[in-house]
Amino acid sequence: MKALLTLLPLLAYAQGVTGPRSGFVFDAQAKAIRPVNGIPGAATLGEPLDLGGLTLDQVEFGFAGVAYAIASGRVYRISLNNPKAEIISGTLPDARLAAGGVLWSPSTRTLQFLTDGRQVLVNADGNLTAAVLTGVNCAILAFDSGAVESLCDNNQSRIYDDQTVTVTALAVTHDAIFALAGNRILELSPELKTISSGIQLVGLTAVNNVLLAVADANQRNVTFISLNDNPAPSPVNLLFKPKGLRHLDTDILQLGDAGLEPFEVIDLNQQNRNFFIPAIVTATISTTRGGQN
Amino acid sequence: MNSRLLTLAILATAVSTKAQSIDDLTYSYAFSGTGAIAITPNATLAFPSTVVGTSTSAVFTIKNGRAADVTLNSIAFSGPGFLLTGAPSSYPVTIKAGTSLGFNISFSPLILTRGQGSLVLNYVDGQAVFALDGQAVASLQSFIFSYIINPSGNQTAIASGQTVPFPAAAVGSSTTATFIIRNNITGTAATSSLTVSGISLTGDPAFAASGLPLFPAALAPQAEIRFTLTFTPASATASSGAVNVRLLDSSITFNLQGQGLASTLKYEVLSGSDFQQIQPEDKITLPPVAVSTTTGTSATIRIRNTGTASGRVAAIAFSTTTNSFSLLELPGLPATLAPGDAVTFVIVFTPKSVGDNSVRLRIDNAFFNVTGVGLGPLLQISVDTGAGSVIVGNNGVLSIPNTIVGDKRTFPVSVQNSGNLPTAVNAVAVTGPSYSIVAIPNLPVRLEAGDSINFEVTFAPTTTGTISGTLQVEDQSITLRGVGATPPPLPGVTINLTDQLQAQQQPTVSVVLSQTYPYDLTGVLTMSFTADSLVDDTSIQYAAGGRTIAFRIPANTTTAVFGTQESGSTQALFQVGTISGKLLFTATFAVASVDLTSGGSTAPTKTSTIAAVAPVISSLKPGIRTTTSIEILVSGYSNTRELSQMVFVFTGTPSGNITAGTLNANVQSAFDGWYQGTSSKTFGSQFTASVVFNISGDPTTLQSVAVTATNSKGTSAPKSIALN
Repeated sequence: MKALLTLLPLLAYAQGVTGPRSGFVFDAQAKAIRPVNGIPGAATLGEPLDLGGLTLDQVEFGFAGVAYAIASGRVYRISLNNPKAEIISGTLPDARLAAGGVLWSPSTRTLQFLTDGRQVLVNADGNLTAAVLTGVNCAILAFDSGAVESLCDNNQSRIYDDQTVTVTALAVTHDAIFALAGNRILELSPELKTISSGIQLVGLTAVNNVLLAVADANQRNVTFISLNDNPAPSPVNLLFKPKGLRHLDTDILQLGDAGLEPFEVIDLNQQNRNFFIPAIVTATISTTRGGQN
Repeated sequence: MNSRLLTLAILATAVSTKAQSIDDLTYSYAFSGTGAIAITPNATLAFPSTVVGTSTSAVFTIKNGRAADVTLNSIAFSGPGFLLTGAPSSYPVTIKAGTSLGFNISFSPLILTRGQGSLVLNYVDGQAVFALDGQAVASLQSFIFSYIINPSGNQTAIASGQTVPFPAAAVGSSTTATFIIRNNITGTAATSSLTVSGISLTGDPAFAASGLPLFPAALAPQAEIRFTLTFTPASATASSGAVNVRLLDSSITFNLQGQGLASTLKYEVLSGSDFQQIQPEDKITLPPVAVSTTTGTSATIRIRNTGTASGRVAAIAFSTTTNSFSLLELPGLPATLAPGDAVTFVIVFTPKSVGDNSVRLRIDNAFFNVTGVGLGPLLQISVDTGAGSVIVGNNGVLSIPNTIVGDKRTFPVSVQNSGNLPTAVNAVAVTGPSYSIVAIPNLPVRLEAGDSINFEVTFAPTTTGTISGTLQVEDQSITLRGVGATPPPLPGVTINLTDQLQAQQQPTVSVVLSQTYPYDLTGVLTMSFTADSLVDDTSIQYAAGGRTIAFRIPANTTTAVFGTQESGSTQALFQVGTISGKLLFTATFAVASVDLTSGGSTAPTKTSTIAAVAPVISSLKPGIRTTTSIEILVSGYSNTRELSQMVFVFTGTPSGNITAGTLNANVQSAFDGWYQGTSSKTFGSQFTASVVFNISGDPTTLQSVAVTATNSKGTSAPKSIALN
């Protein structure tokens, strides 16, 4: 059947045009979440989100405009596009977030798993025990013995309790989970397998389920590993030494922390060009925080 | 004594001049101690010169050598000064034959003249006449020497060789005696004056004569010469001398004797239970004592008069300034000390400074060196600013040679414990702009006596003119005073940047000098933007944020380094933003705080242009998609801040057809609203447009869409995305 397209007159209204937003970052100095206004190459950090004066200690960005944050020992679910903070836990003294959106207490005896049903790896207390969760709505318990148990709705968990690795980043695709452990890239599914290594690897993330992007501080670049038969894009040489790697947006990779230093991004929409996002000027931070109160 | 004319008349019973019967008589005379001398009548019996006032006697003998007696009727005797004694008391006198008759004739002159007389022997039968001749002469005995001890002595005769005993006199004072020489001869001035040809003194110079007449001096009979003898002892010893009177071709000497008297003040220091004598200029050492003491140590000083005269102490004081010594228990001054008397006083030592303390003690004209050692630590600060090490005292001022702003001068500082007890240095600090301290040891540090710590102070002037600071070491403070001199002018500057910039660009800019500069330069590179659309673009920023970036150019280099030393780069990253206009870079320079670009008025600049261009679509994203609509999110920018049209070209699957596959959207109004609203100002010219399309039919036949946008400068390159 033939498709008929007609243009709705929505664009006639001013609200049909907005400012582009490249994502959100956590400003550790301001203890706040800031939007990245504009497209890479002309982007700036915006004013902190108004979360009712909440001072954030740690933020881990999830998917679909959601972030999880710790403030004063409690876990909050943050709605980014329509700024709002929602308490989702009791007080967890010294609680911290781990890569991949997993929350646990410093004692590692109790973990609260935050997931939308995807596979997630959980580590515990530095010496990590990797686990692949195939279930949904999983809760994970880790013990001082190193054992990790998961409880998922469909009880389809799988735990690597015989391997001890140090995982600092995860890359989750539809088909597998990859972990950055030390300077190795491990594939966790179905078995632990080293697929790449480097000298000073500091970040790992998956791109469109077909690529792994790896930040290499030693080489000061980002390399890509193809997960299918297509050739991997060329490495991107960076302006600054990367400190990590995460998705700022679906098509934008963030390579450093936001705040008093500029950080770098790679815009996958613009031929993998890399740009810096200017740092926050101290005075601005001060003004902004004052404005928050 | 009045002259006296002795006339002896002997009456004779017969005055016959017949002398046949006396021819045989013989005559002789003999002076004492001499043999008889024969004399014949009419001859002269010459007496030896006889001192006036004395007598020369001769035994005159008449010997009757005849056989018959001879009768002597009388003896006539005349002549001044002559005296007949032992002659018969009555006449006539028979001189038996063979016997003799003797009598004495003496010459006793009372005046200084020649005596002439006669001796006439009147016999019965004749007369025998003898002339008498004697010369009166003067002698020492003609004088009377005497003295009077002034002021209340009596006149006392003195003979040759005897002594005038002066009363004891204090050294420096005098006693006097009047010496008297009297002509003891009577007579007239014409006949009996004596001459004193001179008077002189010999012996100790303590004796002196005054009031002497001119010599030779005639001394009339019974007249006197008086003169004064003065005894002025120069020392407390016995003095002897003599006064010599020359007269009568001889001299006579009288001794002079005097005793000098003086007070002798002895100075003594009490040592234990005994006093030990000290001499002027000796050192009086007081026992060491801590500086912090309030009681101090002391020494008792005694002044004792061991001399022969009273002494006087008029002043006891320190002749130099001191705050460490004091005098206590002073006697009332002036104090008179009789021989054997003593006074005492106390010197108290309460040192105000560590180490040797001294003062000069004055007791009238006697000086003593009083010393004492104050016990305690003493931090002494030495600084060498290039002209040699100098000690700078507490609250002192250290002048530092002029230093060009940008340069620095580092000078060593030594803190030495020059005291005699250990101490600790707990705090060393330098305050004041442009001053800093380097290489300071870990504090606190214990300093034994003589030990020191060393560090350096740097003067790096940040401004011209006098710059003061303070070096603080414990409780000592030294004012640092340096002068910052004007640095040399800035060489030529180039701001390296292309003339043309493009929106969304993130280029670099650099600053380079035409030649090296000798000092560290700092500067600020400032961006200012003038938009064609009169709307600022907040995204124009350096990577470090903001529109200013500090840089520095190390001394003797040419290229500006942005950022910190470690991470600094010679290129400053910035982003151009998304609005057309002109971007002005201004570089201000300073050496320390001295502006080399006159507040920016002479600062070098560089202008680059961001040309107005056609829109750029950076991304397309599918938005909300339903079975009847599809949303396309178009992101990009139009650096003219206006956008009039968008064209969407939908592509269908090969099996499907699309009606109205190309749609022109007039977006002028919507974008005017966006660009003129306040929300857009934080985005430059960027936009995300949400365009929703109604779909009639099978939406799955839509395969992709390509979009272009148009503004006054043209149409963008197409951007496309897949829709399934």
